[in-house]
Amino acid sequence: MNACVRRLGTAFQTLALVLALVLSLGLALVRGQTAQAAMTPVIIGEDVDIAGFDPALNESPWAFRPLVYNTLVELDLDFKVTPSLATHWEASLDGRTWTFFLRPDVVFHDGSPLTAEVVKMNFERLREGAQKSWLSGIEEISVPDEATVVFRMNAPTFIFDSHLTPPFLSIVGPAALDDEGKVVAAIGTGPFTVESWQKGRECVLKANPSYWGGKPRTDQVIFRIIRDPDARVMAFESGDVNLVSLRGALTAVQRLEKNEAFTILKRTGQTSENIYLNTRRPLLSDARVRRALAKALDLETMIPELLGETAEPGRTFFASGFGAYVSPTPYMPRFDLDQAKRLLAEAGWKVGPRGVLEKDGSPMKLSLTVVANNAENMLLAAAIQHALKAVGCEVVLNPVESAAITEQFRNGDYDLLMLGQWLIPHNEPFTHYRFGYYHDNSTYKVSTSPEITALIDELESTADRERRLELHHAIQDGLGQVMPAWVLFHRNNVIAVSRDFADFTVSVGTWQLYRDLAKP
Amino acid sequence: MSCGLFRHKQGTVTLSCGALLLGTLAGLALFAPLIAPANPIDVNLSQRLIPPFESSALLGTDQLGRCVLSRLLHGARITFTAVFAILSFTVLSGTLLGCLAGQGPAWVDGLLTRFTDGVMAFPGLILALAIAGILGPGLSSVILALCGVQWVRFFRLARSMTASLRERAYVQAAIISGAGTWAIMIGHVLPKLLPSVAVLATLQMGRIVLSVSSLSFLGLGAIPPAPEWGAMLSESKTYMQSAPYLFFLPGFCIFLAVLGGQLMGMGLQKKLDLSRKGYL
Amino acid sequence: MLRFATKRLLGVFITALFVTFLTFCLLKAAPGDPALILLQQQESVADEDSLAEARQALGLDRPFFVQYAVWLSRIVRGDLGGSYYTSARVGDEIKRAFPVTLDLTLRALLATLIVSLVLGLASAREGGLWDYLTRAGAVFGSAVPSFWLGLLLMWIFAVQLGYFPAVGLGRPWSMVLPTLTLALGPALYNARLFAACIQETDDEEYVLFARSKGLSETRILLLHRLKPSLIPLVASLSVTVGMLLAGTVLVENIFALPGMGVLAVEAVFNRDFPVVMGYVLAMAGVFTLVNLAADLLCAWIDPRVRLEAR
Repeated sequence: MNACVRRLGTAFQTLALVLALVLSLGLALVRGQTAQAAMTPVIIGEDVDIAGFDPALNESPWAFRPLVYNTLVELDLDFKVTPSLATHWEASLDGRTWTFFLRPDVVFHDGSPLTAEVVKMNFERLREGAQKSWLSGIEEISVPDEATVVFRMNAPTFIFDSHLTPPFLSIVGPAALDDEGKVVAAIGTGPFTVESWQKGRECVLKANPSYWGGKPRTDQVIFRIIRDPDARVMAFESGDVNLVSLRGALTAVQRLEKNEAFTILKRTGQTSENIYLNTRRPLLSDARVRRALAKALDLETMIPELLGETAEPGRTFFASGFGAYVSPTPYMPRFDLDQAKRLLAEAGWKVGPRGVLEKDGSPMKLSLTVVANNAENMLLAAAIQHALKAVGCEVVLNPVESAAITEQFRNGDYDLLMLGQWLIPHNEPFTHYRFGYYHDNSTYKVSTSPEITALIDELESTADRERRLELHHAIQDGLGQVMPAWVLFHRNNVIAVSRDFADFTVSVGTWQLYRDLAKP
Repeated sequence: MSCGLFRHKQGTVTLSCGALLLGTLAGLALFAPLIAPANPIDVNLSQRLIPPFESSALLGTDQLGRCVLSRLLHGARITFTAVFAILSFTVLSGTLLGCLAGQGPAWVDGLLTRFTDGVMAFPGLILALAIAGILGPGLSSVILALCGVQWVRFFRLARSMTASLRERAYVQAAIISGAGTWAIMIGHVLPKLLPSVAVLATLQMGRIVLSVSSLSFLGLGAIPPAPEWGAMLSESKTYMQSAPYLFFLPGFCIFLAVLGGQLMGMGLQKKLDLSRKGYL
Repeated sequence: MLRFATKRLLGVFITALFVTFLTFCLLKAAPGDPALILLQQQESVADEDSLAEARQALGLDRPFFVQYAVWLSRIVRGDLGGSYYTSARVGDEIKRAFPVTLDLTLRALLATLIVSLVLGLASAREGGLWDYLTRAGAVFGSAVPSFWLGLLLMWIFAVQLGYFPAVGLGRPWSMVLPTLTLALGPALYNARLFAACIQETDDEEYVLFARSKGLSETRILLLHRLKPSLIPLVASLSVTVGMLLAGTVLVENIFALPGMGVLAVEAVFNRDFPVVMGYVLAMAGVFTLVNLAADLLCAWIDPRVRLEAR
């Protein structure tokens, strides 16, 4: 029995020893962290991880790709088309032939040179695969010499250079592909190379000393994946990350602004949050009803009150980031409850039992599909639900996750559906109508009509800028008559940076978010 | 054994505490439409995030300017409705199936027992999570899912007790004298079962409150704007820094309801002196 | 012992069969036509012919039990199928998320054991202060919702005091709050259980004998009363692990830990049922194995268990 006591005593001693060890190890770790803080890498809190190294994967966020890869042509901070891997380019007068001249002496991360053949191979891969519809205008790609790539188009195209700017058209090195043509390694020409990637956790980038634009002044960039917006901001406040987008963080801007240690950068973005209306559903088939319900939404009060600095209330069809292309005629009608009720009565809807509108025996009951794990959307949905109740429209929320919502959107399986507008960075919003929502051949076909399709087709084959502007405005005003979507708000890009990065001018604007990290 | 009496008395105290707590909450739930100062889903954007005791809304307002007190009261209604529905279903089906398995033919017993073993092989809420997920978010899916999982507990209790009662002389005598299965069940087995079932049911009450609000917290239960406690808690997470009362209050309500059920169950257990029999 | 183990293994096998069957039924009942989803993934047109072809390719036209057998044989080989929405295999997703969940569970288990041992020993005397504290603690622990506790701890220790990181992985001390949240309920429950067992030994003959020899109470406690009281603690290990495993789904979602619980909830809202079922199956598998291990451990320590099982 004494032996047992002794054994127990030893056990306690061991336990104490282990505890002490753990404690000191923990302290050492904390120390190590602070010691490292002197030579800080840029740690970015991101909400979505990359889906893989293939820049063409649509699931990947934008921010990562331009740091590792380059496109032939890119947009600068004022959304102007500027040279990247191509130094200059020209289009034939009929818009059917586009010739790009490559930058000399560019090498990939593995040291192999960028040649016209490699560019051709990349585009052949893209137009067979993930970007089939985006590149459907290309008929043939030819390579007259080492440094020239010629695209022959199957119809006159006048903004093909702009079409080549999205990061999903990035050029990868030949060694990045496996035997099946899949991208298995991150080999690009960009300012950073991928050092390590732990899926769902973090991705570490290292400066590329042989970058054609000069070695970036930042040695290391770390993307840390934190899905929840509030969690992301908390990680920022605790110094875990030092650059974070405040998208979806509802209470953060006010709080962070008061803190001396942080800088808030804000810029108008290029995207809007919309509610799409399913015009094929009987309840919503009448444009008067869609307009009347829009009049019941007091966005001018609701948006600033609920979302503060992160959003501008929806007025025009597009965010002001698209500049002159946005029609000056307001798209969303002014808030007017009485008029909304009158319009609904004119359309034949009468107030039934429990104050819910009725027509031909069917009640005005709509479902609103919304992303479940998004506090911002859920908040707004509840406010809109209440606002529509005031005119007798009953709304039931249908929370789903992001992958399912795009699926339902594509299949037209919704009454009302709240979703961010397609965000493909572009200097003009043409692709929204043509590839996005409103053309007979669009991906989602929210609402189409022969007139609008004709206008979009005309826009596609017009070279003159003045005429293009006119057409853009005509399309937006035409859609305003149809009212296939309610523009709730235009999203501002708001970023918080810790003061240690005061000498950084982080560019805030769609996908170039972190481009200045690459500046030498 | 001198503490036997003491234990009995202590049981009474615990039982009354629990009953008082649950009774108050149930009363508030029942009369919520009369007591609640405001409509729980009325949005008022000019009255957002007012802390408690600072305006006419006693417990403050939430992120959409809704009265928190009214939401909590109506939340109690939702919770108690769910508990009542789940409990009545699981008690009935679980006990009856359990008696059947304990008395009926061996293959029925074997099949049912294997099935419940299968259900019990999933830890805690995980099976309910999957079922509710398949049915799609909504309070009714959560109720169905929990019904589908929770009856197993009553089944196991009823089965083991029925099986052991079968060995008793007076039940044997009834069998020999030709009484039918149903007659034995109603006449001899069920009365003996009742106390244990009652204890388990009160203990389950708290667990069900916890399960419903957990699933709602994960977004599977009541759909906004319904003022379910768990859902309120998860919505208020965003406002943790500026309005901590928003997450504190619904959580506290859940805690009180579960505590009430737990105390009542424990008290009853002690009063009926069932604790050492090991069925629960 | 061998006989006991064989019997238990057989039981586990039958249970596993039922578990997989239940899971398969759920998967079949879940909304979403796998054939249609396959076609959408391949971006092909979904007409009657291609749908029928896809059904045949997926084996959906075969009888129910044949489908189950095929599915089961794939599960046994570790193939849990593909996600409906991402290109990922369910097995890979789980392999990535599982270590996080396992890490959390093991930490919480360790915390539970330490807390229940210390508290249990402290409250060995019935009616003492520690006894009352442990009793009250057990009631509190069983009633406090873990998601509320988690947010409270986060608010106090991360937001107000700033001692620990609020969310996420990868920083030292970042697992402290999640572990605490997860372990508190089970720890207090086990502490009460252990205390009750120790208290029961109070009037055992060997304890009275030891007292009559004049041994100090501490010595009696550690030498004579501790060991027999440990058996029920080991026996309740499987219950504890079950509580912990089930608790991870809430805790991971509160603290944004990229584990299985987060994966599963996300999949539920994406209607991505192969992932959900993979999760459910994996959790049931782990739980069943833990149960088996706890039973064998018990039987090894305590021969009575072996005899009872005959």
